[in-house]
Amino acid sequence: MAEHSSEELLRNQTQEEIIEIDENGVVHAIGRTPSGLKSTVLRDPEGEYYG
Amino acid sequence: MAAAFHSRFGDRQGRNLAREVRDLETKWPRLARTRAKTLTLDFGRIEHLLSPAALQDKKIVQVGVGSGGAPACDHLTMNGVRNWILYDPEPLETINLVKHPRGRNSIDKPKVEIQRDWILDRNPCASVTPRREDVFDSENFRDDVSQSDLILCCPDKREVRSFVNSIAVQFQKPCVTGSVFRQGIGGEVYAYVPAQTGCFACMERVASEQGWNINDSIQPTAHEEEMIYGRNVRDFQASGLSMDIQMIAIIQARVSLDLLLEPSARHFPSIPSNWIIFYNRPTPGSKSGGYFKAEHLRVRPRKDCQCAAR
Repeated sequence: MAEHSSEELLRNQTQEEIIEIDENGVVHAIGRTPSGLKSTVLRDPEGEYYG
Repeated sequence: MAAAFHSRFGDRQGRNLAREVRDLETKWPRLARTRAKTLTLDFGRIEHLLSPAALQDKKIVQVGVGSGGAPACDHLTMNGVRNWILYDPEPLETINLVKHPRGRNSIDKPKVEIQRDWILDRNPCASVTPRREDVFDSENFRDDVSQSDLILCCPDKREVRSFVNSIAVQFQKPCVTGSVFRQGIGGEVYAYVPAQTGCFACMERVASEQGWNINDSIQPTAHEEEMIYGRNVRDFQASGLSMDIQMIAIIQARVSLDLLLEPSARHFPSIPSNWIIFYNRPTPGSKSGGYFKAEHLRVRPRKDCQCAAR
């Protein structure tokens, strides 16, 4: 049986994480690197709703 | 009335007629109540979460009522939005049946009329204007936008998405845009709120600058290769499943609800981001995504963008 998570761990896991893009286009993301973001934040510019 | 029948027609036929009228008179209040119930949408079970009355005068212009637009509209209707202007030039086709929520009996009918009928069935107090028009050619679109409270942007083409958002900036109207990524791996919802967030172009710009493009990570399917290279359909993208699409549509409806309701009219906190990228499943060959994972972003108006100058 897995050990119960500590309260501290639970708090860390549920912290709100928002990536901010400021008025100069600079990206702010606490605890993340630009290369990390590039491999984890992806969008599809040609995405659609497919009729 | 039964008594009048009885006194006037004393014979057996008259008495039978009087009895039938009396029975109908007895049933009438219950029938009237039943009918009254079908003519209004009873919000009793959701009023602890929001105030539908706060939505009744809000007007939405929706562009696209396809496989994503229809469910987004459905959810907002069920929560009390009842003034709609719907744009979509297309009819429902048999090929849509694996993704679009409407039935086979709607095949060949204009999607805007199908959606109007669904809204009015669900809420007979609704007001719906169906426009089977392409927004690029429409003479009504700008005027409709100018009188709206929010634009729900659900088209199936990138150029329509960009056009609708440019009109939103021009008229300073909130615009919530949804789209689904290739193969339904995920999707995104972007909310432009005048003077508070960057516009859709601000978002596209930062994504381009940062190289946030899923198409660099995933390999085309055999079907995509055949369409793109074999049949020269350069912008072809394989569709997602109906549930892949509706996951995004529901987020789009939820973000729209936030913008339509004042904080005092809802009993849940607002979403802190204006750009949500949602992954239905992991992206093959990439660290991105995961099952039902979301990235939340907040985009400020870019200093040198036209949206910041307004």
